[in-house]
Amino acid sequence: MSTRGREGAKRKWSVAALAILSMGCAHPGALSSPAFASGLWDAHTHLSWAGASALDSLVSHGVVAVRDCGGDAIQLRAWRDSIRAGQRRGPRIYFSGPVLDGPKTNMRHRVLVTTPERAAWVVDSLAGLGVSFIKTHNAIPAAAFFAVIREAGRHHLKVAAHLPRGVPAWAAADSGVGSLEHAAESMLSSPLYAGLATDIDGAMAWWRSLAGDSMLRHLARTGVAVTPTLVAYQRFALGASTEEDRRGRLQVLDFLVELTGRMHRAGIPLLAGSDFAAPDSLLLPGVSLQLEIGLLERAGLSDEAAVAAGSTAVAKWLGVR
Amino acid sequence: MSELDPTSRRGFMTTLGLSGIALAASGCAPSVSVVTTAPAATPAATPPAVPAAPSTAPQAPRTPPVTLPPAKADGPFDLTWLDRLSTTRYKLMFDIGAYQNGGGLYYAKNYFNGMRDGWGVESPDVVALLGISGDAFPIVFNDSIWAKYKYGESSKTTDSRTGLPAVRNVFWEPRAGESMAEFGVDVLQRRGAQLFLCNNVFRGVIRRAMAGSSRPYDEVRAELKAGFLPGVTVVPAMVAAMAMAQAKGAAYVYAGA
Repeated sequence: MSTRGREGAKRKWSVAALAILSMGCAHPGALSSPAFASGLWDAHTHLSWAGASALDSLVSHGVVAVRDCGGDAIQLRAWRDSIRAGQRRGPRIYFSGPVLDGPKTNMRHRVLVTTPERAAWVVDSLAGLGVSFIKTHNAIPAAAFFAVIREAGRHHLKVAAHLPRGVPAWAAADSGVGSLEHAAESMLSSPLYAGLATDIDGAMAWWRSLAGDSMLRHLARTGVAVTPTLVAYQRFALGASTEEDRRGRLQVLDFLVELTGRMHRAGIPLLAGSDFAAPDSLLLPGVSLQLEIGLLERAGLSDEAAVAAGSTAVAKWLGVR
Repeated sequence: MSELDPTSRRGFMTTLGLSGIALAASGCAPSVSVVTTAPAATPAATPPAVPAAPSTAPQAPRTPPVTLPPAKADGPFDLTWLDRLSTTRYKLMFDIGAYQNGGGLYYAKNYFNGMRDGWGVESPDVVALLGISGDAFPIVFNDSIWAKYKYGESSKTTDSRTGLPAVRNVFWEPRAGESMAEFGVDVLQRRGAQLFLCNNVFRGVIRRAMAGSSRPYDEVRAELKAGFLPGVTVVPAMVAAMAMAQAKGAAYVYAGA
């Protein structure tokens, strides 16, 4: 696309954004209401993968809002608006739209971003679509990832990051990322990405060391939130095909629970997210969020703090009071 | 979306693209570490020191035991119902783990009718233990809780008296002619039914009520317990209660749908 064509496309996006705003679909902050936080909030969903039936199930299980971390923006916007209008039963939806990612075999609900220039264009387009935040995934190149954070900041959008391979949590947090998704793939992986460990046992040992303690306190100072999605890892562990695999994964789960408790005690905001997606993933809308909150309690959070991670903390992250 | 690799022993080494590193275990810093110097969008004022773990740091054992979650502090629980079971002649535990518009209660009604019509036995020789769990939990609450927490809306229960989402427990004191007149909770209780609620499910109900408020767990739990229908007993876990009931001679029937 030529520069002029790209500018034209941007203007079209802007017009579309204005149209959305005029329909009452403004920034989530504009919709603030005490009632909005009344009920559970799932901080990590994939509604487009799960299908429309998930909307009903969420409400049945007391989930009143979701932070959707990757899906079809047009579909999600339509669902959001029909729910607001009372035409469909479902939770309030705050969505990122497609995930910004590098090349993968299955690019469903993903947008290919491989350069900083492309990152700027995609973020600008998504901002025009009225997304609530930006979501990145693990195959996006580091340079493009940092450009996404920079461009998102220009649009006052937060970035929820499933860390790119090779970028440790502290590099992302120092650069202004809003949340780190998945304790396994974003936190436990970080010493490996930074070259401070060469295998999982080494990574766990590093987090348990004084250096790990210091890093947790540093992360807390950056204000970055973490969405552990422990229930997703638990389902993954229980789904192992051999006893040896299952035992090894459950040991990792134990560590992730322990690390989550330490993150909480260090002052890192935690968000409760289930990561439910495809219907065959063993993660169920509503049910899995309750299980995640239970795992946060197991990590040492009080009942009140665990529930806050699955309600007010998510609302606060999204800028909804 | 998590992309954990199901073929990997611990699940995500290959996802991270580091399996070769793990296998080599050379002790050298892998090349991926260089990206930590990538330019930040907002450069940190004081980049954190990233020291390696000291050699004296405690190392994780290669095969530590899997830990069990700590015991919950919701007890003690009333277990006297188990003692009373010993003297009951016919006892059947209904596993009602799904709401299904009260379908589990309907099963209990059939049980009482069948025992009466076929064998001529009724209360107190016949007992139905109604084990409420899953999304069937609204059944055990009174009208004020239904109204306050909008269980009629969340369970998609319409009040036949108003045609609107129910703001009362429609299974409590039904009127003659209403669809659940024969299997209202109070009707079944008079025929020998006892209601049990799983504590794990109760904790989830409490979380729903707590969310978005600043009310502490104990306060909300007390409020909801005060909102139980008469005769509801909380058990530590429904599956454990079923085991104990069967040990006392009760039979089991799935009544979730």
